[in-house]
Amino acid sequence: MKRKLLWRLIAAFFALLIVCTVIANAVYNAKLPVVTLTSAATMTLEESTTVAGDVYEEGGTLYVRYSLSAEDREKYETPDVGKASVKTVVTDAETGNESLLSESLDLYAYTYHYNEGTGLFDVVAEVAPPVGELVFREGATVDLAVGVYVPYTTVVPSYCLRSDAEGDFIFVLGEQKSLFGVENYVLRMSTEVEARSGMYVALSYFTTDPIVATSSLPIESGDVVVVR
Amino acid sequence: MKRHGVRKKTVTYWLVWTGCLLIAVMVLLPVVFTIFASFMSPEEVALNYGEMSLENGFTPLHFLPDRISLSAYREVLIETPRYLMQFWISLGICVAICVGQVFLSILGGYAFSRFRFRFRDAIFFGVIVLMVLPYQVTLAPSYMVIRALGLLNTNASLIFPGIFSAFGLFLMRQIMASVPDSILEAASLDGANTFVALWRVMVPCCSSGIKALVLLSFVDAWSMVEQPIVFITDAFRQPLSVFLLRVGKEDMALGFACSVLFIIPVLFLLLLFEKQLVEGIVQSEIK
Repeated sequence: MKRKLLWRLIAAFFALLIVCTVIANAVYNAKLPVVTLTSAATMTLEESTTVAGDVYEEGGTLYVRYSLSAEDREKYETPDVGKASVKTVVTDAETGNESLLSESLDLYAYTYHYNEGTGLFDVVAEVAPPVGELVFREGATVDLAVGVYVPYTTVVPSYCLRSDAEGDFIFVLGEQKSLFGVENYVLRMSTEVEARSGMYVALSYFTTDPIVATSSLPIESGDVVVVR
Repeated sequence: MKRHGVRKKTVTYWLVWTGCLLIAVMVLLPVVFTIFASFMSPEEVALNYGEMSLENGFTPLHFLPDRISLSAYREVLIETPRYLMQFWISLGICVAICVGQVFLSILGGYAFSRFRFRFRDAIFFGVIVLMVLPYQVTLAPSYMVIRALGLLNTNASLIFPGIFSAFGLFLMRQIMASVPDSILEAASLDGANTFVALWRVMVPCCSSGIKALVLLSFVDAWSMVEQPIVFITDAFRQPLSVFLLRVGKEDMALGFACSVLFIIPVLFLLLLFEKQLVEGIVQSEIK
């Protein structure tokens, strides 16, 4: 009788442990942050600077004139991208109604001249003809975007980049063997931003590991995560 | 004269009983303390034993919990699966060692007790020497062998060396030697070959001894510490016996709860085989 009771007790104990193991595993998995991944790409990013300039017409050709610092001149001496944003008026041929347009015009044929007085480089570039008629002629101020395309090896979407008091960093995904098999964990990698362009940032840290894009919960370095 | 004798016996009786009681208290106190402490909240454990500071050379023991709390058990059983997984790993290793050890010991014991072969006594002497050698002496050679076999950092590094037990072999040899020859001869006359005689006759005759060996080998494997520390480097592969050391340092409240969990299987086994343990040891001394 006593022995039978003991066997029942043992069976109940192990049954309880099995149930607890199943529940504990479920609770553990439910608590893990779910992350989405992305990978770094080799990409050319547009680096540009915006300066103010004048647009004028000479001999039937539009020109733009602006100044660059010595540092910017070195970088943008032969820009891949040069655009002047100008406002033009377009007249509808049928109705005769006029409408105001904002056109982005390509620049080309740059000439540089060092201005000793200002210490800047005066740049003159030709402007592609606009569709409409320029609202501001000679002397008018326009915004210029002068830029180059620079190749970077580690370019990620900007939301992958995180910052705290210690600086910029990303989380990369690692694998480790654990009690529960192979687990994924995140590892903090400090990095510096080499360039930003729109939705992308170029990082100084080179990696081929998957990079954490988003996480359902706040994560820290070393945290075990579930990859979606 | 007689009265003086009675009085002397009574004093001796009480002295012996007092001594036994003191020893029993010393042995049981840590177990009782662990069980009570496992029902304390982590805050209470930290408050009482957090720094383990000595007061006048003594660690103040706080036996009964101020308020019974199951938070340590909730953490161990429900919230974090690592403790239970470690428990199952330990159980798996122990069961494998226990089964292997009992099987090998039965075969070895039968060979040493029933067969005559060259160097039998010398080999058995070697087994006895192995039995009395401290495990630490053979730890380094064992490590080299396991490394050469490529078993380091696997459960097999604990199981394979563990299934040979000099003590188990010795115990089974002594128990099987106590079984009368006439029983085996009768079996032989009935047409039983060696293996049939072993499994159908000898094993049932030695069931108490085998159960005692099951208990002893399980306890030995369940509480092993040196082998996992040396042979297994991944913390998550180590059995609960080693894991307990770490848990106790990280969180004492969890350490107490894990310790209680650790005690229970051995306690069950002891309650199951308590009678057979005594019988088996007595049987080994008959011949």
